[in-house]
Amino acid sequence: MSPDDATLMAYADGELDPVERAAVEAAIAADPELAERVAAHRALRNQVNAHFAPVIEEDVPDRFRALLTAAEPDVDTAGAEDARVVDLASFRDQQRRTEPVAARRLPAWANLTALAATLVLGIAVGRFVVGTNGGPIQLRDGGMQAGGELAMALDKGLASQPSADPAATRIGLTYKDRDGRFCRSFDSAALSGIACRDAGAWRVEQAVGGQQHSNAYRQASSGDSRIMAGVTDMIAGAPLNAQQERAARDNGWR
Amino acid sequence: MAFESELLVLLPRLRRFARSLTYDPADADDLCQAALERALKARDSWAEGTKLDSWMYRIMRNLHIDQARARNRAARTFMPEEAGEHVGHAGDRDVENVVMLGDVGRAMAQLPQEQREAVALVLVEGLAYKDAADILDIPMGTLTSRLVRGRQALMNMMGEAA
Repeated sequence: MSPDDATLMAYADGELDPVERAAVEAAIAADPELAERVAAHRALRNQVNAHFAPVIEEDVPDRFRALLTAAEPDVDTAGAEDARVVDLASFRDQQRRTEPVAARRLPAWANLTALAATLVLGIAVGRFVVGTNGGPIQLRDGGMQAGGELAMALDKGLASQPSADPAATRIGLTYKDRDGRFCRSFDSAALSGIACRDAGAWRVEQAVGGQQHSNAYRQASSGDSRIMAGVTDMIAGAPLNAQQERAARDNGWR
Repeated sequence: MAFESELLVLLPRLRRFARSLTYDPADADDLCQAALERALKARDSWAEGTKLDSWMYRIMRNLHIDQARARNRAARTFMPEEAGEHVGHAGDRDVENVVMLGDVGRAMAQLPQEQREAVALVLVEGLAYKDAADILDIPMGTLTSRLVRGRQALMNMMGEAA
């Protein structure tokens, strides 16, 4: 009986055991058409492999290296990493200060790669927020995604029409980042941060534990200096005004 | 530490695998980055001494499925027509070769996901059937039949020259 295509393919790929291999070789010897089919399988394998082979020679983007070396605890920058984590942890004390945002310079950490910053912030969020289903932040596709009430606020909320409910998530600034994504700063009792519209969802780019004292987050602009620094770091152009904000929302953030 | 260093070594292969799944180089790198982020978060679930490459392929493949579902929900066009040609440094090659290489990318893009990932693991990454089946969490027979169908489809699309 003539071997089927799956068997010929497995033979071409070197996947058969010696007994099966001998049987296929005997069949091939008796039928040139079978040999051609094996050759076609090998040629296809070579062609597909060759097509993607150049990727191996490409330079790996720096952001990947940064991601992996930032996570490494015993590299030269370990001290700096620690400093930033401590910096974030002590943020709750700092946030009570009311110095005007415009007077602030970007802190040194804002110059680090976005990835490293995200990683550290991720640790902070992990500490403050339950990251499972139903929470304001969900871990999806390897990133932090807004869920639940936070996602709804980001979808529908307008800074010009804040909710009457003091417990609701409040939208701060809406702007476009350098990748052209819509981003919005938000704060609530549980959480403050920045989320950007990405592939139909709100990807949380920065987040810190929220402000438990209600006075601060009712002020006109986000009281969180780190979030504001993040906005300053990401923004392309000016924030949206109320009219533009509404138009962007009504257009589904596309 | 060993974990990060091993991931660094794997990076070129992970990028290649991503490229064979997604076609668009930017999407591929986004997928690769998402997989790295997930791996770093889930590092405790990697058993030292087991194959890190298989573990990473599995993470990336699962992420890609999630993303493909999300894309389908958003009813977005899956692939711009020219995207398949962007693999490698096309500018370095003669025109005829670029067109031929482009055909592979386009043909791969036409495959159903389950055939494409089988082709990617075996033909592109060079894995044994058993390792590919483990990563995809399917029996060997299923892997073989997906692979054979995927290859037949590729041959049909690319013509007998393949």
